[in-house]
Amino acid sequence: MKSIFRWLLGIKESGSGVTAANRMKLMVVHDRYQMPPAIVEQMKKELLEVASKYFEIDPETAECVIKSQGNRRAFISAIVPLLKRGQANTNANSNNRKSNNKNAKAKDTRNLQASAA
Amino acid sequence: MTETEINSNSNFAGKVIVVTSGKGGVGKTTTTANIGAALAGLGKNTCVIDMDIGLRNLDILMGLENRVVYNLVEVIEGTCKLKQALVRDKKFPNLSLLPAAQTRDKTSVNAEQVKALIEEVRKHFDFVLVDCPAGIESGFQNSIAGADEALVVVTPEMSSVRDADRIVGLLEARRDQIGGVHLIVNRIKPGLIETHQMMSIEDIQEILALDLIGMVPDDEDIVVSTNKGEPLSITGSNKSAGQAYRNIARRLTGEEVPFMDLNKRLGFMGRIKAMFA
Ligand SMILES: Nc1ncnc2c1ncn2[C@@H]1O[C@H](COP(=O)(O)OP(=O)(O)OP(=O)(O)O)[C@@H](O)[C@H]1O
Ligand SMILES: [Mg+2]
Repeated sequence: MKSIFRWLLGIKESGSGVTAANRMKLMVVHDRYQMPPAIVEQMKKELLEVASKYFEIDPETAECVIKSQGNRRAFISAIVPLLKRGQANTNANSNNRKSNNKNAKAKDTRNLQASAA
Repeated sequence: MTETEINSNSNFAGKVIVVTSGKGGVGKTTTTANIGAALAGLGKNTCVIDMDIGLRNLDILMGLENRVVYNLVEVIEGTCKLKQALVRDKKFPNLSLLPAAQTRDKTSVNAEQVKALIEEVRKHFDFVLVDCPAGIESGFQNSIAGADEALVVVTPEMSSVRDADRIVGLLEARRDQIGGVHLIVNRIKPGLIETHQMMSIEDIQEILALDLIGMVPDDEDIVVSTNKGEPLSITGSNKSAGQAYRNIARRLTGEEVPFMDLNKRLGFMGRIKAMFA
């Protein structure tokens, strides 16, 4: 019921203001470190190359961003989902792949720890 | 009256606060005039300095343009005494304006000279507010030269926040001199924030990592008050931008003041929307 009213009144859960805030959070960090997004993209590629030497990874859902963290500090946040052993080179059909990616996302933290270890 | 009497007690060491933003047109001068008047209303000896040399505006917002005789550049060059250049407010005898030069440019003074001038000014006042020009060049450097604290004004727009971030970085590099850097979010449109079409105050605060000292609504009466040369913080209702500025002034004096509930300014539709949000 409430959601019908919300729809009638044009209230959105996440409007352009949320998009703006998310864009800003990345932008200011790039500004502060004088690090253009293209360079971060390059770093991501190289990180993935290194990771793929040790693990079967899923490069398509991998994320690598510089994030701010209160007090104007920042950190590199890389989330590199690992594939099950032997899966990387098999040409799994796309549906299968997608559900696997979801699993990988859910275990993001563990993946990160695994790659840090 | 050609000359303003300034406080004869020369043992004051007033707090010097620069009002800055990076991006132009976000409300620095409006903020300076309104907080200046509000501080005077609280009984504080207050001086507002227009550092926007070449683009003088603060005198207009305060309704003092006809009383300007000398300006800041002439004080620095020794053409006149500080006393002669200060313009006393019509309503508040404890509020003075030090006007900018209109026909000179920002390079006609340097940071060292401004710093020496401000050291002189602060002896006579409790609060000295410096209205900084837009940008990060010499005008900005001059404006922060003598400041103890800074008010960073932003509007809830990406370009404004980005430019403010640049300013905050520059202020931070002077942390030994500029102790407190506070955030003022100006021209807030509660309706847009309600429907998430504007960055939230919390987001802006998180991005800039500053202490929030004021949230000022977008208020049509600001235009009216500018036309009259009478800051809204003197006349505005308790729901106006003027009230928001009065609150900031009280916070600057060390008082704890709760933030205004801006949602109460929503219209009928806005309130209905808010009910379901
Ligand atoms: N809270 C507000 N509500 C409505 N209008 C506002 C508000 N604050 C500022 N304005 C308007 O925005 C315009 C710019 O304000 P102001 O001159 O104070 O900005 P500024 O930052 O000093 O600009 P500049 O960088 O050119 O010095 C003015 O027309 C002013 O009336
Ligand atoms: Mg201005």
